Amino acid sequence: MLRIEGISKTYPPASGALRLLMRTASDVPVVALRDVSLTVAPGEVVGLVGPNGAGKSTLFRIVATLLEPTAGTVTVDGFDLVSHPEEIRRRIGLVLEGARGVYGRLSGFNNLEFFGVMAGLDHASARRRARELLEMFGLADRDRRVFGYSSGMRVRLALARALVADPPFLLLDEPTRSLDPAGSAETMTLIRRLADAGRAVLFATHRLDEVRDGCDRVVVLTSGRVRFDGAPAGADLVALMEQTP
Amino acid sequence: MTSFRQAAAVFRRDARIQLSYPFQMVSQVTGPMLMVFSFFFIGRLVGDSPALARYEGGYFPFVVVGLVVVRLADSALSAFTAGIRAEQASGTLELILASPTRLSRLFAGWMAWPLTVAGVQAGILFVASVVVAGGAFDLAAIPAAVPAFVLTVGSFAAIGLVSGAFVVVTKRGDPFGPLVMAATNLVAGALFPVEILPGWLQALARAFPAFYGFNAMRAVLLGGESFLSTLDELAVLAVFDLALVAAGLWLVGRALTLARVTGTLATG
Repeated sequence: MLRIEGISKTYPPASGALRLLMRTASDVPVVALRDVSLTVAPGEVVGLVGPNGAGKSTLFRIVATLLEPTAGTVTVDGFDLVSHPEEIRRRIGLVLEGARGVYGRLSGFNNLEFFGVMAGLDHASARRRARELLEMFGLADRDRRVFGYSSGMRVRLALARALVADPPFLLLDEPTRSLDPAGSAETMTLIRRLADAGRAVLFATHRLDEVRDGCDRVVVLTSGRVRFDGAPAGADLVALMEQTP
Repeated sequence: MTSFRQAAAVFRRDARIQLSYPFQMVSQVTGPMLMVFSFFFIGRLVGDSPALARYEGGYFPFVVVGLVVVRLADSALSAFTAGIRAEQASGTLELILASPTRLSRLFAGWMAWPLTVAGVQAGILFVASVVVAGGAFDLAAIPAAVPAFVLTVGSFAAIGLVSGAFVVVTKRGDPFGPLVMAATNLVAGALFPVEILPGWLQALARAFPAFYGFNAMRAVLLGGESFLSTLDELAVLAVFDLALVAAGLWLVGRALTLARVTGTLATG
């Protein structure tokens, strides 16, 4: 179970001597998340929707141990984010901002082999897992240097990379952002299959059709607050996303 | 075992990426050979300077020792910051930091390929110099120079960690790397003996670990001295290395924590 309780995040500005060294996005504190709570259970696909700047990517980065929350707790299978970040990292597969985060000069196989070892597999297991995943995602026959992949192939490779250590939790931040409708539908089918195999999936998107058709629950986030958490059927997601503080 | 495996995976990845640019490899190999000839003729111009009296063979073998070390030192110094920037550019920095990989394994991996290439370049440079300069070098003394060589390159790698900590925060503008390399060439004795510098610059030279490394290596390779005679320099280098590694790791940890609070980890 992924449990997010009362998470708030305020990005501080650089102050004092630090201003000489660095620039932050703003010179005043920026509140990105306010008291956000939600859970994702095994076998569940939870869609996270909200306008740009709602705080979706901030929430993903906090759960992925890349950002420190200002307040609140995150636990994954009972492990706390602050006290056991390594345990959380072992349990989470991550896709950030579509299909970024693969090495264009390497083949899909070599990408998966590399990320497998970084995730803790030994070299032989990482190679075996890379072959399995290329088969599973229909890339085995077309594997080549990734800069020659289509957008759809890149998304599948990014999903395969997230699965390389067979984690029970998937955080997918807009994996379908650069896909056409057919590619998007294909990706949603893949995500459904992964959840049916027992994984918990938190999935951010701007496409409301994906949420209605592919998610068990939807969480609407605007201005850093949860406005709705429930079944997508019947919910007026457009109206919810237009809510402001 | 895991630490070696992950560092080896980064090395393999970097090797595959860099070898996919074949012409780059050609220029990396030919560059050092051309440098040898340039300095060989500068050596002829310099002739037998009194400042070089305690070294066998005059200026050319003297500067070759400096060039070999500088080649590896430059790589060691920039490997960490180059590793961060490359991961940022490919969008993989956050993914790697969100994996259970320890930072120390990542650092070791980021250094492995650049140091291998620099080692090959330095080897080519040295072999070409031996061919050109004949018997100036005491080749049997090479094993005695290895500890000073390793500690000197290690000190640059440790300074590279300090630079990397700043780059995590500042993104661009490494405050140490260019300064340290310029000081190494100008003050620490890479290209000419420090004895020809004004007294205050000679005193400043002692603040740089490379000064002790150059002295120890030249003493055994060109001065006919024994390994035992370099123990003082080795001790100073070891202290520099320990202090710089500790400072570097601490600063990198602090920089990453700051980036995790301000949300600037993956910004370019």
